[in-house]
Amino acid sequence: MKRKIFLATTLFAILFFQAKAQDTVKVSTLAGLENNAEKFYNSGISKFASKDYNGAIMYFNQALSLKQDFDKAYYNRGIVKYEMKDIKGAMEDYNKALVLNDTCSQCYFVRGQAKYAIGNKTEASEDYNKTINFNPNHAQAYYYRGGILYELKEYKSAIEDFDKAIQIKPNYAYAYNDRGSAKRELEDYNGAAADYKKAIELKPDMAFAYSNLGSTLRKKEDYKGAIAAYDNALKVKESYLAYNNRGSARYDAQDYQGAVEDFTKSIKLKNDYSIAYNNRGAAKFKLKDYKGAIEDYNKALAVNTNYGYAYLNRGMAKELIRDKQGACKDWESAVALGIEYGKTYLQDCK
Amino acid sequence: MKSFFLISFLLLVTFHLFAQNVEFEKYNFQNDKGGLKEAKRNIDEADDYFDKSMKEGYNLFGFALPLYLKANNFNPNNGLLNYKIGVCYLNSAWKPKALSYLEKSYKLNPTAGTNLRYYLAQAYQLNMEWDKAISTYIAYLSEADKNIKETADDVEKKIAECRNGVVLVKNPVLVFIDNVGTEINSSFPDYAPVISADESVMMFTSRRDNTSGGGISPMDQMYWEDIYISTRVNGKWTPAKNMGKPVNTDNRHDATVALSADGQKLLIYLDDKGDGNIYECDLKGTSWSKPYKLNDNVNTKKHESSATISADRNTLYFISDKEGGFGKHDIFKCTWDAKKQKWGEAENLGPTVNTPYGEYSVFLHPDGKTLYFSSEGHNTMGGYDIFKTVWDEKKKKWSIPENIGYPINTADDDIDFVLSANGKHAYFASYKADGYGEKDIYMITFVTPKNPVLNTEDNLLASLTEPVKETVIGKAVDVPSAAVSILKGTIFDAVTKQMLEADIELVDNQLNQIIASFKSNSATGKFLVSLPAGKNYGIAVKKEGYLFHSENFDIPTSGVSQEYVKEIGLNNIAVGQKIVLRNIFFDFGKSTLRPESTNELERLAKLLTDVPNMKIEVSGHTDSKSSDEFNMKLSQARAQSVVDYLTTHGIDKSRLTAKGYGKTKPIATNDTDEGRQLNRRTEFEIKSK
Repeated sequence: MKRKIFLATTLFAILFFQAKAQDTVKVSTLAGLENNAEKFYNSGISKFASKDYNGAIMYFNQALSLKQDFDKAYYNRGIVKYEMKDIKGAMEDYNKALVLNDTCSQCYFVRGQAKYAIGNKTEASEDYNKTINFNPNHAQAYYYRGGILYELKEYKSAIEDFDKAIQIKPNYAYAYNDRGSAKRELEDYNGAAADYKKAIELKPDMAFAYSNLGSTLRKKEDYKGAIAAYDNALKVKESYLAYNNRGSARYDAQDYQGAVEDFTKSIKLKNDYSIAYNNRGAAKFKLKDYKGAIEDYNKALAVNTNYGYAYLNRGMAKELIRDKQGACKDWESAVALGIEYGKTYLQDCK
Repeated sequence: MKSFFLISFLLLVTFHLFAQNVEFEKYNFQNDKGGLKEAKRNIDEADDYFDKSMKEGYNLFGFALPLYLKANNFNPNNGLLNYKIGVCYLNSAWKPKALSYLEKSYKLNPTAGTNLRYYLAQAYQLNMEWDKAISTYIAYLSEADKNIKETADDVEKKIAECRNGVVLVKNPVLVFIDNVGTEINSSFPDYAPVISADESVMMFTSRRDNTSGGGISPMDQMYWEDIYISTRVNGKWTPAKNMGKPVNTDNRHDATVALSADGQKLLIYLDDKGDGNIYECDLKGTSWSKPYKLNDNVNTKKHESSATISADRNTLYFISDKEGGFGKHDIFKCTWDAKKQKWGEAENLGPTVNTPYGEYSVFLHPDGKTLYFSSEGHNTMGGYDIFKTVWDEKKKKWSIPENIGYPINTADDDIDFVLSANGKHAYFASYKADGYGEKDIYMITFVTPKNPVLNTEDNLLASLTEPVKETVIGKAVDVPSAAVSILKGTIFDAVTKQMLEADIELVDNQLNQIIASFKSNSATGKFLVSLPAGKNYGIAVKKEGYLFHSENFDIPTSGVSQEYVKEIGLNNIAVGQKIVLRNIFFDFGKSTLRPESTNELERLAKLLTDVPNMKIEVSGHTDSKSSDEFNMKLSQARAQSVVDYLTTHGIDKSRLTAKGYGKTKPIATNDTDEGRQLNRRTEFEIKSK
C-alpha cells in the first residue's frame, strides 16, 4: 500500500496547485505529461533541424527512456546517426523501429540507403522492395532500386524502375537523367537524348545532364550538337569532365586545335587528370606534333602507370617519329595492361 | 592619310617600272657592255640546245639551262629568258622550279613565248597549287585556238587531274619515304629498282661513270644506262656493283625491267635501234646468262618497255604500244605454253585497266593477283601515277584501278614501283631535294594508319553525382496535452448537505495506479482535477466517520477538452447503509477478480480495519439476462470472491457475509444497457457496528 502511493507520487510527480484565493482544490495529473516522450521527441527534431546532432540524439534517447516502444523516435535517432556518419548505429535504430512497426515503408527505405552506403547493394535492393511493398507510391524507392540495377548492368530492369519513379513523380529530374543513361547503355541514343533533355528542362542547373546529353549526341556522331550541349554544361558549371568531353567532341569534329585548348582547360581544373593528358596527346598527334603528344602521354602515365591506352597511343606517336622499337615496347605494355587491340599493332613489330 | 596614299601610289609605280621587261639591248646596259656581250653569247649557245630539244626530239634542256641561268643573273627581267628557263626546268629533274620563272615571265610579258600560260598552269600543277593551276588552264583555254580539239581535250584532262589532286592530297596515305642510301644511290641518275620477293637482292639502272665502255649517249650527253646489283646483309645494302658482262653491254642502254620473285630471272630492256624490246637473263649458279630476247608474242617492232613475271613464272605482263590496244602504251599478258616451251599469244588486259592514255611500268606482286602499274589515265593527279588493280579469280576480271595515293604519287611522273612480298616496303625512284644527285632510289615503308584512343568519363547516375539527402527526419508528433479533460465536483454530507473536506483518490484503471491523491476544499467541498483523456478512471472519496464513495468513469479521447462534474454525497457509517463498489471488476461471466479491482478492495479492507466492530454483508447483483439459476450462482460466487479477498487480507471471517441476489434487487431498469450496467454490481451493507 505504502509502496504503491510512493510509486504513484514519484512516478507521476503530481503537483498540487493549492489556489489560496479560490474555493476549489485544483489538481493536475498532467505534470508528468509535461516531460513526456513526445515532447522530447519533438525537441530532438528541432535540434536536428538546427544541426545540433548530439542534442538531437540526447532528446531521442530521453523520449525512448520514457517510451520504449516509440518507433518513430528510433527512426529519427537513426536518421541523426546516419547524418553523423554512424551508419551501423543508424541501421540498428532502423531495425528497432521496424521491430516495433514492420510496415513502416520509410524505415525500410532509409535502411536501404544505409545498406547502400556501406556497399551492400543486394540488401539495399531488398529493402527498397519492401518499401515499395508497403508504399507502392514511393518514387524514390523505385529510383534508387533502378540505380542499383543500373550498376548491375541490368539496364532494361533499371529503365522499368525509372519509368515507375517518373510515373509517380513526373518532375523527377534525376530519374529522367538516369533513365537516359540506361537507354544510352542500350544504345538507344535518341531515347537517351530525349530523357536528358527532359531532365534539363525540369532542373536547368543540372550541369552533368547537359554533359550526358553531349556524350549521347557524340555517340550519334552529332558533334555540333554535342559541343553545344557541353557549352551549356560549362555555362552552368565549369568542370574538368565537361572540358574533357567537349575536347573529345571537338576532336571528333576534327577541330584538333580546339580540342587541345579544352583538354588544357580540363588539366587546369584537375592537374592530375591523366585522361585529359592522354586526350591532349591524341589531339597533338592529329596535329602532327608527335613530340608534344609523347610528352602528354608521359604525363598521363606518370599519374597512372597502368594506363593502357596511353601506352597504346604513345606507341603510335613513337612510330611516326621513327622510334619503332619504342613504339613496339609501348604496344607490348598496352597489351600487358589488357588492351587487346595492341596485338594488331604488334604484328608490325615482327 | 593622304601621304599614305601617295606613298602607296609611288611604290606601285616603282614596282611597275621595276617589273618592266628589259631587253638584252645596249641602251639598257650602257655601263656594262662586256656583261651584255657574255650574256648574249650564253643565250645563243643555250638556244641551240633549246631549239634542238624543242624541235628535234632531243633532250638537251639540261645543257641549255645553266647558260640561261648565267644570262638571267645578268638580266633577271627578260620575259623570254624567264620563259625559256621555265621550259628547261619543266623538262628537267626539278620541274617544280619552273614556276617562279614562268610566273615572272608572264608578269613581264604575257606573250613572251608560245603557250606560256599552258606551261605556267603546268608549273602550278607540279607544285600542287591546284586552284591556280585550274584557273590558269581555263584562262589558257580561252585564249587558245578553239578549233584544235586536241588542245581542248588535253587541257580538260589536266584540269581533271588537278581536281584529282585536290582529293588525293586531302587524303594522304601514311608512309615513310627514305633514301636507300649511298650504297645504292650516286650523284648520277639511279632508277628502275627491281627486288627479289624477300628484298635480299636489288638491281637497278644507273647512268654513272663506270658504265661499260664508259661512253655517253649523244641524245642527252649522259653516260649510257647500265644495270647494278646490291644485296642486303643484316638489314643493310652492300655497295652496288655494275653487273658487268654479259648483262651489260658497252655503249648501249641496258635497263632493269623486272626480277623474278626468287631472283633467278632478270628481265631487261634493250633499245634495238629505236625498237625497244624485253630480254631475259637467267642466273646459272653464280653467273648470269647472256640476255636473250623474248619471243615475238611479246616483242614486236613496236615499243615494249616494261614487264613483270609471276612468281610461278607462268604469266608475263608487259607494256607495249602495239596494235590491239586502247591507245598509246597498254598492258598485255602472255601465258607460258609449257608444251611449246614459249610465251603464248599476248592479250590486252582490257579497258578496265588500260586507258586511252599511256600505261607505263608494270609490277605483279608475288601474291600473283595484285598488279601495280603506272598510268596517265584513271584519276592521276598529273603525269604517270601508280595504280593498283586486283584480279578477281571468281569474276575473272580486274578491279577498278585505285590510285595508291599521295605522297607516293605526285603531280609529276611516278613510275617503276616494286613491292616486297610482305607488303611492308616498296621501292621507287624520285628526284628529291635531299637526294644524292639526280634521280635516287627510295624505299617506301607503309605505316598502318592508327587512331589514338580517347577516353571520356560521364556522371551517368545523378544520385551518385549530386547526392540528395533522402534520409528525412520524421515529423513532430502531437503532444497528448491537447486532450485534457477536467473532472470537478463537490463533496458533502449526504444527509446534512454540509460541505466536506474528504480524501480523493484517482486511479488509472488500465495501469491500476493511483495517479492523484488529494483533498476537497474544507469550506466548499469543491475539487477540480485535470486528466488526460482516453482512459478509464476510478474515483474514491473517503472521510473518517463516513462510508467511502467509489465510482468508475471513462473519459473518451476527444480533440476538445471536456468537463465532468461529480457531486458526491458521503454517508455516515450507519447500520443499513449500502455502498455500491463500482471499482470492483470480474472476468466476464466469471467470479475471478480482475487486477484493477485491487484499489477498491484495499479501500474496503481499510474501512473494516478502521471500524473494527463493523460487520457487513457483501452482495452480488446481476441484470436480468441469463437464467435465474446462473445469475444466482454467479452473484453468490462473486460476493464470495470479495469476502475471500478480505479474509486473506486480515479481516475476520465472522464479520463478513457473502450473499448472491441475482437479478432480484435491481436499482435501475433492465431494459437499457445503461440500466443493466448499473444493476450489475457488487454492494455491501452495514449489518452492525
